[in-house]
Amino acid sequence: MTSTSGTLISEPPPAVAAPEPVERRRPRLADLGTPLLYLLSLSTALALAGLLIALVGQSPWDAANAMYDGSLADGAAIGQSIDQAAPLLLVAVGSVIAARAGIFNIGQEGQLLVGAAVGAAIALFTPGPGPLVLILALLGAAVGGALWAGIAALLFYWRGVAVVISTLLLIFVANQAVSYAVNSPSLLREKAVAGQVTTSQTDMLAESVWLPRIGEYPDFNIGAGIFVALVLAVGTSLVLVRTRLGFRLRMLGLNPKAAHRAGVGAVLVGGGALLASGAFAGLAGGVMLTGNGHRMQDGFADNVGFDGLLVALVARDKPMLAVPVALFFGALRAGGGFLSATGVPRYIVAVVTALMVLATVFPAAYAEVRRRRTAGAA
Amino acid sequence: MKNMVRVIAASVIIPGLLLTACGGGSSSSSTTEAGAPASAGAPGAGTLPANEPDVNKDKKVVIGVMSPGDTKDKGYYQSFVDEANTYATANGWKLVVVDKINPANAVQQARNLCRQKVDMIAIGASELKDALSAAKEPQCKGTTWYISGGQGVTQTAEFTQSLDYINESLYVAGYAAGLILKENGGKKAGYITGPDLQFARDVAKAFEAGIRKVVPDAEMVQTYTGDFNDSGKAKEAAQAQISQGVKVIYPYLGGATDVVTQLANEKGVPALTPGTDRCGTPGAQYAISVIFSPGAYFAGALEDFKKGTLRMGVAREWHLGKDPVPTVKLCKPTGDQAQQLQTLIQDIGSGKVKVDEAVAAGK
Repeated sequence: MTSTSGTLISEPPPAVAAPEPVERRRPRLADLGTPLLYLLSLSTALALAGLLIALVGQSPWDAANAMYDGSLADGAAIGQSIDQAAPLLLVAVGSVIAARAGIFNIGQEGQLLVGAAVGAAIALFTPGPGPLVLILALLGAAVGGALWAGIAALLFYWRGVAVVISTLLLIFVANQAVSYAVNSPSLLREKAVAGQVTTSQTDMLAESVWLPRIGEYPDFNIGAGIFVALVLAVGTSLVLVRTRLGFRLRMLGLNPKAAHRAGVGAVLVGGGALLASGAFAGLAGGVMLTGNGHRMQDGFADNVGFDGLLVALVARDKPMLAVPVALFFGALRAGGGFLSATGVPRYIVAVVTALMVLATVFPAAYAEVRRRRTAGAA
Repeated sequence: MKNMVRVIAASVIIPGLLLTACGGGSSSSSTTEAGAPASAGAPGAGTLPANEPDVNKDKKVVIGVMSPGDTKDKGYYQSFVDEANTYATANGWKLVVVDKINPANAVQQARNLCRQKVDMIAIGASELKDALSAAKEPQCKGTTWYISGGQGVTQTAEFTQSLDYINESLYVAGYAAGLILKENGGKKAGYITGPDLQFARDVAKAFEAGIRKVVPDAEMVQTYTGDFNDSGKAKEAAQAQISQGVKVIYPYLGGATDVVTQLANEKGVPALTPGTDRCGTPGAQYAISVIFSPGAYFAGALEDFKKGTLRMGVAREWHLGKDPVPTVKLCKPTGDQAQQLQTLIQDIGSGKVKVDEAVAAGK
């Protein structure tokens, strides 16, 4: 008691020390713990999704069944989920590399698109044996993505333009540039067939340039893209944790000033990380092109770049953790596609899928915000 | 390091287990008997799938509709679904509509429909032609395929298609617009569409040639907004064109069509429909209905399907002046406008007017 009241001062001291007042505070979300937070957010998302589906006159139970049928019910569905996961994983691993160097690349959607366009150009116009052209197309896709990310690196290290802003804005440029390419007969637009109208897409790639598939519809079947993604995820994880380069990269991300004093070149390591991130996104585009669809159209990227970024966020920038998260997101995408094929309106499917993604991302994002607050307070 | 080894092991083992658990599953039961041979003496007339319309013999008829556009656009894409709905309701069939399909996902969406054992997959536009590659896959064997092929999709034995010809309907649409221009003393027409695509250019060319048949010195202002459904861009383009003095406007759009027409209505500029008959319908008022809706063609195919006579491997052509659709009509003709229009339609149908040559000549 710090009162200056004479009455209080004159009171005899208590015989027993009063107990310390218990600090009462409102319960926080963090008190729930991560598993409970996941449970809470997923339950909320499921409830909202069910409500929305019921509101458009469909059965939530049937919709849940359709999501399951489309993602896990049989071999074809599981294969489809894994196929969807492959480019997500590649994008996510690339995002992790940049994030570990302290660079927030959010332009994977554009890098993927440019990578796929470069890959398509190589696959369509390079003569040679199929497997060689396939490898060249994938490498070309990676180089295309890296160069596109390189523009942001150049702007950042030369002019100080924030990477977040430049990579984001470069997505719009990539969309327009690729759209122009697939609409121009002199560039990538499909060749005209007598009596037919061509549309804004490339020619179909020759079958010899397709990524091999294991298994056949309607049984379990997957494209080789997932193996490419897994190998690169494992390799990246090892490089980040076990090599000098990985150490320098992490040091740059954790404390750029200390890294500078230790002789880590920010331009070389940081710029390299951004280029590598773009290369992974470009390669994801190459895998999508040669693994599924086998031609490019407007809208080719289909939000894979953004979803891959979310995979990295949920995986908390750990390449190996990105594997199961990418599989989960792949299952969501496959299930969502099947759900829309059952007659549930496309916009509802989009909202349901987005709710599930949000529910998955929320605990990780919340933990990240909390970590930063704690670090800031310290 | 141990944790990493565990994670790596899990990543390899889990897919392996899934492979073991799921590989070798038998194919779905959606197989069908081999199609009956084409009618004798009719080479190239395709094959007739057995048991139409219940081709997979599961005692129900399910039609899966695939559309690249919004099936609530009150126009081209909606007409396809409306027709299918009419048949489905009248015959107790089930309809599954999947719209706004990205062409890159067309094959997968077709497979998803096949897995639901649909009896027919109907594709609303040739942008989704890649979906047809699923027709040969085992899970799609019990399915008949129809595509609204527009100018044409390379024909194979697995599907049937409807064909129409841009030059016929759009040349006559231009002619009708020319009649209106002549009446209101205008010399300038507007054409607003979405992406700068080859078929959109072809449409513009035929439309302009038709206008110039009536008003030889007419000009046409073209705007490509980049999106068939972006109402904001379409309205902006219409405002710009009207301020340039266009006296008739063609919103060759999807979901953004009505916005342009409503603005045109306010400014007293007549408008044309992109595919459907909207004469006298509530809402936006049209002066000319240019009718080439895929729904009209699909109706013919559904009728055959219902009767069990829809053949795969063949294309049905729809010609202006020979078939009820495509056609063009003036909603409120004055003087002898209707007669002039009808004469041109008949001349094209009879071959008296060589429409391709007229379009190539630009008048």
